[in-house]
Formats: sequence, C-alpha cells, structure tokens
Amino acid sequence: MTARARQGALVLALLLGFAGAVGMARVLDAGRPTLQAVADEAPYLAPDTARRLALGFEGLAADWYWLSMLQYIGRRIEESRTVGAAVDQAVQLDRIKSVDPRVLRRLLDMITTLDPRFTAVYEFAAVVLPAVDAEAAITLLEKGIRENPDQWYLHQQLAYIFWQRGENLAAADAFRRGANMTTARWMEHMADNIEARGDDPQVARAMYARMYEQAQDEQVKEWARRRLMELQSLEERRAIRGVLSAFIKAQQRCPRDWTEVTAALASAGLPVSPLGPPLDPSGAPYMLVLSPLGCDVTLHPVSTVPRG
Amino acid sequence: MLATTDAAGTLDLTQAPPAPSSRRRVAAIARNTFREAVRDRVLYNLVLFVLLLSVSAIFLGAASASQDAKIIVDLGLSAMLLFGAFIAIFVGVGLVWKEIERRTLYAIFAKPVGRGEFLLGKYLGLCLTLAVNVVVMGAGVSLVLFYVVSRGAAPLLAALWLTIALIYLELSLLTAVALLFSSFSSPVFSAFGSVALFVIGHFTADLKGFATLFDAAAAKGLLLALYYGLPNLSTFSRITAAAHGIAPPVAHVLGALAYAVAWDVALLAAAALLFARRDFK
Repeated sequence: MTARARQGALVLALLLGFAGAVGMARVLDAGRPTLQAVADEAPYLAPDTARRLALGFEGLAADWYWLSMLQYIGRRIEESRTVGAAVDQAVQLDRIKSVDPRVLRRLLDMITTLDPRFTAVYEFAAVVLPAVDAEAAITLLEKGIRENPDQWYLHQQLAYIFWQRGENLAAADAFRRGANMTTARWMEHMADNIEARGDDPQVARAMYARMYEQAQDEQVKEWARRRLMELQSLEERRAIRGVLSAFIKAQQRCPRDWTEVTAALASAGLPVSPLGPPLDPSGAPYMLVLSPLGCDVTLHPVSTVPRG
Repeated sequence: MLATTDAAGTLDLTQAPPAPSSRRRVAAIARNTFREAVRDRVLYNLVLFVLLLSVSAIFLGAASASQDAKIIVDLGLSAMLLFGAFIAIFVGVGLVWKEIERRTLYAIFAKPVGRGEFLLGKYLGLCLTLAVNVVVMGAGVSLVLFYVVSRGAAPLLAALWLTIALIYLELSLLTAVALLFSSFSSPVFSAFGSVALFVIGHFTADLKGFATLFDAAAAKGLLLALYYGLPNLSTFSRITAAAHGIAPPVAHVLGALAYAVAWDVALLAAAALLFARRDFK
C-alpha cells in the first residue's frame, strides 16, 4: 500500500468512525428519555456543599444556575402558552403556575448560596416565586436582606410580596425597615399609604412605578412597565365608560362610532387619535363594542396592554 | 572582556574574566524560561480565552437577562484562574524535568550556576509568562466590559484589576508548589500533588472552622497545624465579589501579597534544599 493510499484509508476510517458514532448516538438517544427531563430536575447537591466544592469559582457556578433557571422558566412559559394566544412573557412573570415549586426553590437557593450578593436573583424571585410558593419567596428575600444589609431596595421587594398577599401591615413594616437605610423619603410615604389604603389603585401604581425605577433585571423592568400600562388602561377605560354613560343619558342611545364622543373624551384628558378613537397606553385604539344590551369599551386585538 | 587594566594602566592578561553576578545569572535563566514558554506556544491559550470571551459577550446579552457584565467578569476571571493554574502546574512541573530529560541540566551546571539560582530563575521565568498571560487576559476582559457597559464601568474595572492581582499571587504560589514537587519527584506525581494542593488549598479555611468543633486538644492542634501548614488559597478568591464591582480592600491585597511572598520564599527554599541533595549522576 502506498503512502497516499494509506493516508486515504485513514481519512476514510476517520469519517466512517465519526459517522458511526453520530449514528449510534442517535439510536441510543431514541431509546431513552430526552435530556429536557434531566434539565428540569432540582440541583442534586446541597447548596452549601456546592459552595465548598466550587474551589473559588462560586460566581461562575451561580451564573450557570441562573442561566439554567431562566431557561427552565422560559421553557415552562412556552409549554403553557395556549395555541394562537400571543401572550407576552414579561407579563406572565408573576403568573407562572406551571413551574415546579421544588425545582424553582432549589435553584434560587443554590444561586443565592453560591453568590449571596447576586441581588438580581432576589428581585426576580420576588416577582416569580410568590405565584407558586409565597412563603419561600419571603424566606428568600429575608435571606437576601441578611446577606446584603446595605441594599435597601430588597425591603421594597419584600414589601411587594406582602402587599400582593394583602398583608398591608407587614408590607408597611418592610417599607419602614428599608426607609431606615436610605435618605429617600418615598419609602416612608409608601409605608403610610399602604397602611392607610393598601388596595387603592394609586398605591398599586406607586408600587409598580418604584419597581420599574429600581429594577436591575430587564425582564422585571419590562414586567413592571406592563403592569403600569395595565393600571393606566384600567383607569382610562373607567373614564371612557363615564363619557359613554353621559352620552347615553343625553342622547338615549349609544354613540354609533367614536367620532360622536371624541370631543368629550379629549376634554376628559384622554389621548385621542386624529381619526376619533381614544388611544390606549400602547398606542393602539380602543374598540367601541355595540350590542343590544348597550355599549362598552375594550382593548383592540393589536393592543399590547396586558389583559389581566 | 578578557583582560583588565589596573589604575596604573598596566594590562593584566593573567586575570580571568569576572563571572556574572548571581542576579544576572538568575535573570538569564528567567529570560530563557520565558522564551521557551513562548516557543512552546504556552501563550496560545490566550487565543482560546479571547474566543471564549468574544462569544460570551455576543450571546450572553440575550440569554442572561441583563446580567451580562457580571457573567463576563465571572467567566473572564475564572478562565484566567483556570488557564493560569493549568500553566503554573503543568508547565511548572516540567521546568526541571525537561532539563534533566534533555540533559541540558549538565551543561547549565557545568557553568558557575548554583542549583538555587537555577530554580529561582525557572520560577521567575514562569512567573513572567503568567504575568504576560494575566495582563493580556485582563485587558481582554476590560475591553469586553467597555463593550457591554459603556457607562459606569470604572468601579467594575477597579475591582477587576485588584482581583487580577490576587489571582496572579495565587498563580505565583502554585508555580512555587509545582517547582517544589518537581525538584524531587516525577512529573506525573508532581502534577498530581500540585492539583491536589490547589484543591485542598481552597478548603483549608474550613479546617480552622472544624477545629472549633473539637474539644480534644490533640484534634484541634492537628487541624490548626494543617491549616497553617497548607496554603490557604481562598485568601486570593475574590472573583464573585469583583463581579458585583466590589473591590478587595487594599489592605487585604497587601496582606495577601505578604502571605504569598512568605509562602513563595518557604516553598522555593524547600525546593532548593531538596534539589541540592538530588544526585544527577
């Protein structure tokens, strides 16, 4: 065999061997559960053990689990989406029920044990975790406050969890603890407002506005922005219904289209399109719904305002 | 210079040329060690590092939910420590062995070079290689950070470079460990021992904690002896804090410098003692 033929045979053997290995891997993979099931499992190691074994690479290990957690949540959102319903991921952050609480708890505990100063994790957990395990969310935030005594805004995240649960006194207390650490007086005002009227839409608006301002995580920021949009749209629809009621009272009928009430809408301070319809916070026109029972306002299908 | 002249201007051809000073001999060996590392393509790891960082910078923005700067610092500094530890250990254990294997050691010792000078030169040469490595890697991480966070990168960069200094101290200590092992044993055993010490070095802080759990004086004494008898590498681990822009206090860096120098001196002295007893015949 010449040197050239030998070289050719070796290249052929290499290609055949590689092709055989890839083919066999596919055959073997077909006979066992997909890797996704493995990825959705909680970390095997206890967080403290993992921290000891990290050999100085704790931060990198925390980042790895953070990316795993984001992928896990993203996958669950994708799986829970109904066919044809274009639901925004950012809006759903606080409504994800399909995640396994045990997996999420373990992942969050692992990340914050490996890197206790990873404050974006506490912020993310304050929004996502209460939907599946509010007690775990409170425990995690308290751990974050213990580990980061100088980060006053973690108190705000804790207050948000309590407020969501309707525990206004506990929320006010969390705000006051945070207020002691910062010269900004708004936390003290928030505490007073929540204590006096926790269910007021203005309190909700102030809460989401502060979360939007303080958020480090872009997903949380976007989620807060959408919540503010939703609140604003609810107020606008209430105002539009007021204008419609006044029109019905005066004319004894519903308006045929928006142009009949454009002036009244504009004078009520609502943003109105030059073509007549009022505009929602996403810039889409509101729809006038006419039925035998009367008239109402609703969001346009193209609107990106959350639908509750 | 082959001959000298005295003050009277008399030419003395009988006097031998003066031997270079010990410092020059050590510097020459260090220079050669650095050149050899470059010839052996040790610095090629930088290409891999740059690739890793570039790909991370491009893809992490979308995948990490705004945590790209933190992850880049974590990834960059961890890769720096990992690549550096590989170089310190696997190049370090070959420093003496290669000279014996190629029989160049005999040619070196035929010249007026002491065994201690040889070891010190080798150590400093590898430290120089590692310094070039960490400085280039640090510059790479800094550039990627500028790309990711154009504004407000200054505190992150200050924390980054102070942490790089600590990583370098850890690598210099690991080099001394590898040199100590290679001064008396085979490369395989030396590599195994050095890797083991790298792992154990990150656990030694726990030994002090365990010591408080024992009432028996003997057990407590043994654990404390182990704690002080092994280098505590967690002293140099500040990567996780650096990723949050928290710089190690300057006092800590200076303390770590003193700690590393003390260990380096002790390890090199032990290596020189063992190497002096080694029979090359």
